[in-house]
Order: sequence, then structure tokens, then C-alpha cells
Amino acid sequence: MRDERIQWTNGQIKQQVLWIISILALVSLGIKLALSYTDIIVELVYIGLMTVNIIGRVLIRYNDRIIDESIQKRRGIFTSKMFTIIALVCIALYFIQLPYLEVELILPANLFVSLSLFTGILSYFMIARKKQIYINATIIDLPLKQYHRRLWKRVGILFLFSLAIGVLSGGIYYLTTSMTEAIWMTLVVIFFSFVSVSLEYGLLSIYEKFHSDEMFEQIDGVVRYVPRTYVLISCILLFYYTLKTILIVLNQLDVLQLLHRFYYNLFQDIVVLFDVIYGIPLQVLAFIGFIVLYRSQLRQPTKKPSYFSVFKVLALLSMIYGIVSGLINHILYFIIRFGNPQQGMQLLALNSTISVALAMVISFISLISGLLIYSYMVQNHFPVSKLYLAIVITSFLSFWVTRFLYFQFSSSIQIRMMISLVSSIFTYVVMGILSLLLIVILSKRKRNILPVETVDQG
Amino acid sequence: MNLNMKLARIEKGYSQEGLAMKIGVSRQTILLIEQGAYNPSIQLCIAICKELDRTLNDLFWEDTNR
Repeated sequence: MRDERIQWTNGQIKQQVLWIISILALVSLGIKLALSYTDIIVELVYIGLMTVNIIGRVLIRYNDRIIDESIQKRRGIFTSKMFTIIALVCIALYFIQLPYLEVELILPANLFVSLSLFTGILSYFMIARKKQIYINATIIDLPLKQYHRRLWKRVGILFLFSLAIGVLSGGIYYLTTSMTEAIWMTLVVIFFSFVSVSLEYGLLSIYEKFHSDEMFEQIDGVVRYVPRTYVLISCILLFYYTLKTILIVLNQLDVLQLLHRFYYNLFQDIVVLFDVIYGIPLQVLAFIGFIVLYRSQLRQPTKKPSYFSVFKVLALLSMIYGIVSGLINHILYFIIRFGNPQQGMQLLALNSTISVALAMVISFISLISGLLIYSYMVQNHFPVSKLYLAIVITSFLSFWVTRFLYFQFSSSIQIRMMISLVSSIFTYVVMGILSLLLIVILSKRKRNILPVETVDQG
Repeated sequence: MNLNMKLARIEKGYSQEGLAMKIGVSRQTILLIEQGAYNPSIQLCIAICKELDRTLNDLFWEDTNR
């Protein structure tokens, strides 16, 4: 498919992404020079190639007084080529120099490259959404199975590219030093980079396929009770909370406390680091998920009660509460671990009391909101609304049963710890799976909103 | 909104997807042209006209006096 709109817009998006990464490169270069770091070759090469790109774009319109469509098209094609060259050269250069750097695996060897890969894909996706094209625009219209096949093919090409870079990097290092130790470390870094880039690209691609299909379903007069994009977001959230619960359970198991102090502290640090890195983005993701769900309901021919917009405010408050309480917990952890433990423990006790009081208030707000949503579902003939009601009431009861048991066994730390573990598993894993089941069922059911406008004979 | 193009497409019996496939663009491009949110190049306009058996005037000339 040679869609002129996709080609032109892609050129514009790539130029904007290059500008964003240029800012990262300049900031990274500035910080490294200020700290007297010598590992600046990737940043310098990037800035050099970006300069070539800017000069090339200026030269394209040098002889023409007016910027017309043909010049924009030529500039777009040039930028697209430069984008590919810059990406390939910088990534290859980074991995070729990697074995020569003495780096530890726990931190990225060059934060600029890691950030650029992550930010590049994400900003490409966001700008593309704003300009009404998809990152996989050329294959987005294919049926779901074919789309996935092509997607996996692209991931496979990325894997082969990573493998080629690994062989190139390892080969050059071996030829110049006759050593092999650093090669393994480089291959591990390349593998993790491949996995994280593939995961980010894969999730965004699945999201945009669902988005595109549902947009056209709506034009054709059909809407789902719950959009599939919301199912995808819910899967990510459930995966995160399940993983977090597993880490908390492992952390509180007696066997871990028998480990050497160093390993025990290391494991606790990993648990906190996991939460620090993913906690806040996932709170934001949960809010985005709510907005997706809310907008999908606005598109449906349902009777909206007067209190409908209150849910939006509640979702926003819930996100703010999640972020603030998460930040407070992290700060307290660092005070206890690296600062004044006694003062930290006092603050932790105060924070726990406030959190419990707030959780009690939130449990009632959740129950009332849940019952209002249930009445909306019944009024608009949603399927499996009884399952939703069961989830709302069970969640409320499980919270208060936990509180009651805590009160009953207030003297035994061991029993309280066990109650806390069972409660976490029940709330995040069992109720999470049930909620996901409900969402999946609702996403599979459709309803008509308009008569179908055409029959395809072409 | 480009209602002329939308009507011509329906008269010809094409869905947006069908027309998009015939002229080698994405369905979203056809949707945006019909919504008036994208101005196609003259080559694409001609391809659409040929497929729908219409002239450029029929589909893309906006007559404000009509």
C-alpha cells in the first residue's frame, strides 16, 4: 500500500521524534560533560547526523521560493531515510562500544540510548494518534489473524537485527582484544533491549488494531459494551498487581528472612524499585483505562444518569491518591533504610493510621459507586450485571472482614501478616481475575446503534 | 463533509474498505476525505474519480451557490 497520506504524515512524525531525541541528546551530553564522563560518542554521532538531516532539508527547498506539496513530499521522504540511518547507526554504535565499557547489568550502560528507544517509540505512537495515523498504518486494515502474523514477522526481523548486532559487536570485540567475558554481558543487554522494545511495540500495536477496528465498527453501526482497548489495559494492570503480590508474598515469607542480610536487603530493594519504576505509570494507565471506558459509554445509545460525570472526578481523585500514597511509602522506605530508622518507623505508624482511615472511607465510596454503576448496567440491559454486583459486594465485604480479623488478632504479628497476605492475594489476584473475566465477556458482546450504510460489492 | 463522494461510493456499491482496497490506500484515508478532514493530492482525486466513474467536478468541486 502506497498511501500518500501515510507517507507524508510519517515523514512529519519522524522529524518531530528526531527533535525530541535531539533534546535528550543535548541534555545527556551536557550532563556527561559536566560530570567529566568520556562515554559521549553516541550523543555526538546523533547530533552530527541530525545536523546532516537539517542541512539536507534546507537544501531541498533552497531553489524554491514557495513550499508546496512536492517539496514537503521530498522533505518527508528524505527525513524518513535519515530517520532509518540515524536509528541504525546509533543503535549499532552503542552495542559495538558496549563490551569496552565497564558497566554493571543492573543499570543501563547509556541512559540516553535506553531513554531514546523508549521515548522514541512512545512519542511516535502519540504523535501518530494525534495526526490520525497508526504506527502500523500499512497493515492496520488487514484481518486480525493476518495482522498478528505480520506483526510477529516484524518482531522476528527485529530479533534477527538484534542477533546481527550481537554477532557484529562480539566479533569486533574478540578481534581487537581476544577476550570473551564482556561479550556475554553485551548479548544479555542486547536481549533485554530486544525484549523491552518488542514488548512496547507489540502492546502499542495491539492497542491500535483494537482502536482502529472499533472505530470502523462504530461507523458501521455496532459498538461493544466495553472496548477491547480497555481489556488490554486491564490485562496489563492485572499482570502488574499479580506480580507485585507475588513479590510481597515472597518478601514476607520466613524462608527469605533466613537469607544472608545482604540478599534479604537486595530483594527488598528490588521490590521497592519495581514499585518506584512501574507504580506511578500504572496509576496513570488505570486512569487512561477509565477514560477509554467512560468515552465508550458516551458513544453508546444508553440512558446516562445525572451523576454520570461524577465517576470521572472519582477516577481522577483515585489516581492522585494512588500516586501520593505510593510516593509517601517510597519516601518512608528510604528514610527507614538509609536515614533515621526510628523517626521513619514513627512516621510509618502515623501513615498507616491515616491510610486505614482513608481506606475505610474509600470502601464506602467504592460500594456506593459500584451500586450506581450496577443500576446503570441494569437500566441499559448490560449482560452479566449480576457478576459485577457480586464483585462489588465481595470486595466491600472482604475489606471489612480483613479489618475485623486485624482487630481480633491485634496482638499477634504473625497472624496479622498472614491475614494481610491472604487479603492481598484475594483482592488483587482473585477479584482481579473475576473482574477481567467480566470485562472480557462485555467486550465480546456488541449492540447496534445505526443501520449498516453499505454492502461491499467491490 | 464530502457528501458527493460518499453518495457516489454508495451508489457504486462500495464500502469504504472496498474503495480503499481498489485504489491502494487505507480505509481511514477514505474516511477522512469523506469527513473533509484530509485534502487528497490531485493524483489520488483522479484515482477516486476513475473508480467511481465520476469527474473531478462531480466529487471535489464545492459549489457554494447550490
